[in-house]
Amino acid sequence: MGLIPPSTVDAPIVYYAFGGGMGHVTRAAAILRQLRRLGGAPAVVLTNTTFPQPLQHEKIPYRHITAQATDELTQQLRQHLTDLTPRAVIVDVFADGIIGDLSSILPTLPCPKVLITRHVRASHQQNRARAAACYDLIIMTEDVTPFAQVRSCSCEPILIRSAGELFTREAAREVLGVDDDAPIVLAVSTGSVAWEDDFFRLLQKIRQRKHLRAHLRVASPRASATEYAVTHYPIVELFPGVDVVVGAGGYNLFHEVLASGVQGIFLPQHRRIDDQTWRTQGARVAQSPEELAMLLEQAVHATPTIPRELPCYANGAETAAREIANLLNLLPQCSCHCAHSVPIAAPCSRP
Amino acid sequence: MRCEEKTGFLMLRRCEGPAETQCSVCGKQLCSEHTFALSPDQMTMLSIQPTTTRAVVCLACFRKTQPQQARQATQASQAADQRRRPMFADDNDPYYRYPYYGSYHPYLWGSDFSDRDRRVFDRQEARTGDHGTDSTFDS
Repeated sequence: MGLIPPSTVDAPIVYYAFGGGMGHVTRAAAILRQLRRLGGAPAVVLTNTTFPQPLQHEKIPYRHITAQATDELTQQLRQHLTDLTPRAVIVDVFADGIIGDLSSILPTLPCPKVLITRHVRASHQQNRARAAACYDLIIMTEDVTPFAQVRSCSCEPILIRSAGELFTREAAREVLGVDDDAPIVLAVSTGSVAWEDDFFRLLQKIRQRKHLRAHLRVASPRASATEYAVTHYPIVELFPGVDVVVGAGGYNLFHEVLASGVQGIFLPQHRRIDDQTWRTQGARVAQSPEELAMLLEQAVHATPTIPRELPCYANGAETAAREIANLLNLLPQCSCHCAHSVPIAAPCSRP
Repeated sequence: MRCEEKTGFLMLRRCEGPAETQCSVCGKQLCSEHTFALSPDQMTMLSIQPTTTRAVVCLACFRKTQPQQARQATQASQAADQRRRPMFADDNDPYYRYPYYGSYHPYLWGSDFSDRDRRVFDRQEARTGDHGTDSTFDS
């Protein structure tokens, strides 16, 4: 049965953000906040996340779906989409749904469909290739092979904050509660409770055993009121004040570290679809406590020699939002009739 | 039966480990990771009759042996320790000290990391998903 086409221009953009951790909802929030800046349509996120902080922080409405089995999930998604009559559907990473739940829905959706995709394991690339034809636009970030016969484009890493939105070093260190010049090591996690606990304890042990004169701070959506916990969100805003970031190799943390220029040490974790080992190739990777201790010591000692300039990077979220807005004709046309759309904030520079 | 100790760096929760023994003082069920072996002197402090068997206790009971030991430390060694290390908030946190051969010493660099430390680097397929429930939505 086909879904009802949207009846008004106020119909929302629906963003499908399923998966573990905060990565998918963070990318959803990053793109939707940029779309909002372009004057885009209202949006609703459908998600299973237990960490909705990125959406709450950006005041993006979301519907939490708890179904675990494919049939049940498909049924619930279909109900939500019928109820919302979306103007467009954006799917994050999993072209046919995280457990195949979108495969029967996508062909019946009357609205434009956009896939935001990043690098995935080879086992999932086949699913993506099969479902690609259902999409009107595919936006690729990281190393993704272009898709034949589908409108597609590449963009820089999609980040929750652009360079100009980060704090100054002084302001960031004030938020982190540090008023001296000692380096700050920031541990970041959205992993499982048990992993997070072992990870933070290990860092603390290394700092103590190596006698590192560095402040340790931990950022986690579960962080409670300890002297180490940083509750600021999004944490990337504080990276200019941090000297070493340590965490797994997920999409957001990895690209935030690279973009902001802070020293990073990664502990890539196994995920069913995400390939953190691939992503962190060439970066500082620790594969044992001894390696982590050595890399951490090196990074802390190197801190005074590393120049910290204001970060300057292109945010793929802006590119992705502009591409989606173009697809949906959300942008005003340029007054010179040059046939390209421009956001209101960036008028056409043609004579 | 599960260990009855609390664990957690940021949020306390009940330990998931299987109970292998019990505290010789309070009877709490304990896993191997949460047992603290006592020296004969410490057993005396806790009014445990020294026997041929090894006495183990939980962290709370083990802590009761510590103030006495702390007083035994000389002023000189404390001052040396302070000069060597900058003071940070956790330096006096007993969670970061370790019962070494039944006594109470800070961690010493050069000894091995524990299995728990190595689990952080375990990149085998996760049994639990990112959100700690199952792997259905592990991504």
